Order: sequence, then structure tokens, then C-alpha cells
Amino acid sequence: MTFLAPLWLAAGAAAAAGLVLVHFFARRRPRPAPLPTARFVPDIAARAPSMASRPTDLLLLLVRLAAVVAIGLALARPARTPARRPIRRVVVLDRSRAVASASEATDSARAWVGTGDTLVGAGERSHVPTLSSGLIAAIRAASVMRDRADSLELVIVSPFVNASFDAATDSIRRLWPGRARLVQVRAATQAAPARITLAGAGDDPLRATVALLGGRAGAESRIVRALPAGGDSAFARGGGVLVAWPRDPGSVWPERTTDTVGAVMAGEAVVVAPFVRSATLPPSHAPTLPIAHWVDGVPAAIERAFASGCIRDVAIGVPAVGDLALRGSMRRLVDELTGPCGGRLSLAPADATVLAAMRHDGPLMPAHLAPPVPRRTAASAWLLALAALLLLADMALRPRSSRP
Amino acid sequence: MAPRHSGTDYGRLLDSLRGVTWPARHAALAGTAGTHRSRLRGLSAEFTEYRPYRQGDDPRRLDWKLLARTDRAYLRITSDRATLTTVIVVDASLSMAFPETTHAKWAQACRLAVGLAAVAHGSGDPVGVVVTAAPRPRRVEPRTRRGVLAEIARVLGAGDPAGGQALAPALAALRGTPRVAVLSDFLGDADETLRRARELIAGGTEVHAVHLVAREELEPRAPTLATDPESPEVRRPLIAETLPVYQRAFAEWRRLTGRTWRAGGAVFTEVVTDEPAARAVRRICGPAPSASGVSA
Repeated sequence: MTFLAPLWLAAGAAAAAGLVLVHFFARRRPRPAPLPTARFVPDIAARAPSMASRPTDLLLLLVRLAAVVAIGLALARPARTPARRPIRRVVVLDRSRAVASASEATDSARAWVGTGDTLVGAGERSHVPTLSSGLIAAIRAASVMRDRADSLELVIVSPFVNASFDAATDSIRRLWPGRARLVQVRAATQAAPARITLAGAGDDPLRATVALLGGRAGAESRIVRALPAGGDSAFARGGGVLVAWPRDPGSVWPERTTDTVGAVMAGEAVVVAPFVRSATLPPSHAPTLPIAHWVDGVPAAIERAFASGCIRDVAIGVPAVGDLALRGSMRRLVDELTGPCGGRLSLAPADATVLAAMRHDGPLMPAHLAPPVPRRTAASAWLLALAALLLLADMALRPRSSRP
Repeated sequence: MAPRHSGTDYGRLLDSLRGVTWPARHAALAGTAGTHRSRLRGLSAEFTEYRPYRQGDDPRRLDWKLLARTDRAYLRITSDRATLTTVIVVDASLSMAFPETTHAKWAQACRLAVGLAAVAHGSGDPVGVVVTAAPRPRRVEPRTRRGVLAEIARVLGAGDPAGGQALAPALAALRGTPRVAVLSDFLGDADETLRRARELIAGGTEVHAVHLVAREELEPRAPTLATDPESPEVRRPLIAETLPVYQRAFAEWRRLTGRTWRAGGAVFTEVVTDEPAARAVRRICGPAPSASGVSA
């Protein structure tokens, strides 16, 4: 048993001592005595402090002492002392699309996880596939484990490709003041969709853009210019990239007010044109990833994972009049919107210096350096409940004359 | 336990008061010959002055020897002496039974009553007593006979103070009495008592107000919950904080009471319970104290 806030124990003891003292100095009604001239005594509350040789109201004193002690113990937050080991591990498992085989990576991670160690995930499939989120989760886990180990070892299971790092990864890594063990797994290979299928009318201006884009190597992408049908969903379920790009987005996802916006961006593609913004992308219960934004930051296209493929909703209206569909910027936009699920990843192996910084040769992190986190102990809640009951009992036991 | 007094208890007091007189404050009305200066002049042997004879004077009062020697007609004027009927009214309300254990205030009242009666009786004055006891007053009619003191002592010792008997009715029944001494703590019907006393004074009665104060009232013990025995609903905490306030208020009330009685024409004397009764009787019977002569 240990106390997370032991100062409260001293405070509780002081309060208990004060309480006993108060019972010696109880204000009590003086002993009645006849005095014919009592009328000349000021009429104030008929109580006077008096010093007793023994504490008064012993039962009341005991109840109050128990309440004070219970409150002191509750605030001191008693906790069972966890089993302490010299070293515990925090294993960060990269579960992003950069990993070739999720099961293989999981097996590799589990090989490092022993009893009392912690496994945290990083780079969920539909999110940015970097290790930053996993490192933050590892630091949180270290805070929880700081009382259970002398040192903490960080194990990172990842393919360690360029996509595994972003601008914040290095800074976050420095928050773990100790070395890390890097366990490399196979990186995925990513190919661009080979063919773009456009299901739409013959006068669809987007047809010209797709035609100018030409063929690509990789999986197939399908653009539907209306709401997707059952076959389209099956296509996405099979690993395809389904792009739901209504010809008139305002009729499918109507916007309350229609306005114009000057540009739209997706990845490296920027299209500057007087777009009419007449649609708002529908909210989704599934995690979504914005893949295109209007110039004012409003998402213009989102992606959500669907089985092994993905579905993208695009709310960009392509004007039928003008040469916008023929511009190179428009072709790059279509290329981005029909790219691989999750965006194009840089799957090249990370630089050796980056890996060295990630490894950070040196001693393991002492557990006490992990930031402390407030811990809730069940005993505190029970003790507070007991104190509340005792205070209720105190009200019941209090002499009627002394009640307010 | 209430103290009981008998005539023998007062032996030392009576011995120490032997020879003490209680002269009237002003000339007494004509009556039986006694020791007090009378308003009537003429027939006694105590010569006062000569006055020229005027038509209508009784020729028997002419000083014939002087007329023979000087051939001038003068009347021989002498002062008469009269007795002064004295009634002592003793307050027997419950507040006089204080302190609870000794009843010192009541005991002092009894001693003063017997002492004053003895002094008056020693001057040949008829003396009586009225004890405002419950359920009805006990009284000894004013007499000069020898056993009246013992009778007064017996009446005083016949019962303890009890209840909240009023003094005023007893005073109202004494109209025409030449001298009345009221022994009380004046904690009851003080205003009505004073009104009745003024009526007596206006009728020519000499009124002595003896204010009895217990030492324990002047210096009460604290802390206690002071309870008025006559009004149990009055319960006040007498503690360190309230004691000085109480003492100031009580002193102010005593000062005001004395001033009010004196202003009404009464002879006011304050007697504390621990003062020897003989000395207190001498103070009461002696010359009228000044307005500031309130003893504590």
C-alpha cells in the first residue's frame, strides 16, 4: 500500500487533533443558577466556551474523527504498490498502409511484449501513416507504467519508410529520454491505379480530362457521376478506388447557400477557377480523410475506407463551359483524386540519420522521468463515501440544542 | 434550606442597638406623649420660649411670676413630645430568598426589621410589621407592649420568602401611619411601590426605603446561566463577556432607584447583606445621608 498524496495524511492527522481539541473547548450552556438580578445580564446566546477535563460527546467525537480520517485517507489516495520490475517495454506497432503484412508486423510486435509490457498502435489505415501518434501513445503508456519499473524500453515495430515520419515525429521522439529498439518489418509496395473508368454521359467535360490523363500502372479507379450503385460498392470492397463525383454535387449534397470559390487543392494539384460551391459533403460515422480542400479550407473531397478499398466523395462541380477540363492543373487534380487509397505514400526506406535519431543510442529511460499522470484509486471513492455516511451520522447524533 | 430565626437569635443585635434612637425627620402629629418632637406646643414641662400675650390666649398659660416681677404679660411656650407609630414592611418575595443556600438577603432583612423595631420600641413608639408573604401578608399591629419584638421575630421567622408578592398593596393599607420602613430589593413592583410610597409621603408619613442587596448580586459567580427565580423565563448567560456589562447595568439601576426614592421624599438606604446589621440600623436611623451616600 502506498499513498499518492501523503501530505494529506498529515493534514488529516492535524485536523483530527484539532477536532479533539475542539471537543475539550466545547461551547456549552452554563449551569443554571438563580440570580434575582438576572434581568441586568445582556441577553445573548446562552452558550459559553468552557474547558472540560475530558472530551465531551465521546460518540460524536469518534464519528467525527472517523470522518476526518476517512477524508484524509481518501485525499491521500491510497493505492496498492504495483509489482516493480527492472525493465518494462512499451512496444509501438506501426499499423499503417506502409506495412506490407499487418499480421507479420503484429507477430513481430508480440514477440517483444511480455507480461506487464504495453503494446500501442500507430498509423491507423485511414489516417496519416506516421509514427507520431504511436510515440505519443507510448509516452502516455510510460506515465502509467512509471511506478511498475525502474527503466522503460521503447520498441518500435515499423517498416521505417519515409512515410513513417512527419515533421513532428522527431520532436515527439525526443520526449522519450532513452534509447529505442527499432524492429523493421517489410514495407508495402504501392502502385497507382492503372485505369480510370468514368461512368458518365458523353458530354461530360470530365471525360476529356480523363482521356488526356491517359493510362497508368496499378489498380483500377472508377469515377461515378451519380450516387454509387451496388456494383460500384462491390468494386470498392474488392480493393478499388471508387470516386463518387456527381456531375451536379448540389443536387446530391445540397448546400444551404451557394457561393463561389476561387480554387481547390488536392495534394500537389491546385486548380484556380471560379468554382460554384453548391454542395456540402455529408457527415460520416466512419473515419474520413479530407483529400481536397477549397481555398478557404473547407473540404472539397473526402475519403473513407471501405473493406480493402476506399470510397471518395468529391463535391467539386466541373463547369461544362470553358476549357477548365482541358487544363493541366485539372488533370493533376483528377490524378490526385483517383490516386491510391490513403494517398500516395513515400515507401522509400528512411534515411540512416533519421533512423539513428529514432534509435537514440544511450541508456534506457528511467521510469521516474515519465510524466506523472493523476491516478484514480477506487479506495478514495469508497473512503469519501464512508466519510459522507459518517457526516450524516454526525448530523443525527449532534445534540438538538447545538444544531443550527 | 431556609434559615429560621427566633427572638434569641437577635440577642447580640439588640444588645448592640441599646441606646440607639430613631428620631423623626420632622415634627410628629400630636398624640400620646413620647420622645419625638410634636407639632403641638404648650403643656409640657420642657420650656422653649416666651411670647407676649395676645387676646384669646389661654390665661392659664400666662407666666404669673414674670407678670408679677415685670408687670408684663407673657406666655410660657413649651414643646410637646409625641410617639411615632412605626410599621416595618418586609418584602418576602422569592427574590429575597437569595443566595439559594443561605438566604442571606432575607436573613439580613429580618435582622434589620427586628433592629429597627427594637430601636423604635425603645423610644416608646408603637411598632408593627407587615410581611408580604404568600398567600396573604403576615402582620403584627403596631403596639408598645413589651412582647411586641418577640412577636415580630416570630412572624418574620414563620415562613420563607416565596412567590412574587407585591409590596404596593401593603403600602396602600398603611395610609395615615406616621412612619413606614420598607425593606426590599425593589425587584418586583418597584414603580407601583414608589407611587404608593409617594402617596404616603404626601399624607405626612415618613417613609424609609431600605434597599437590600446581596453580595452575590454585586459579585456573581461566572459562568452560570443566571435565572430569575421570580421569572424563570429570564435566563441569561453570565460569562466573562457579560459580567462587566451586568455589573455596570446593576450599579446604574441601583443609583437610579436611590435617586428616584429620594426625589419622592423618602429616606433611602442601601444595605448589603454582608454589612453588620447593627451598623446598618444605625445608618438607617441616623441623619439622612446625602444623595451620593449610597453604600455598596
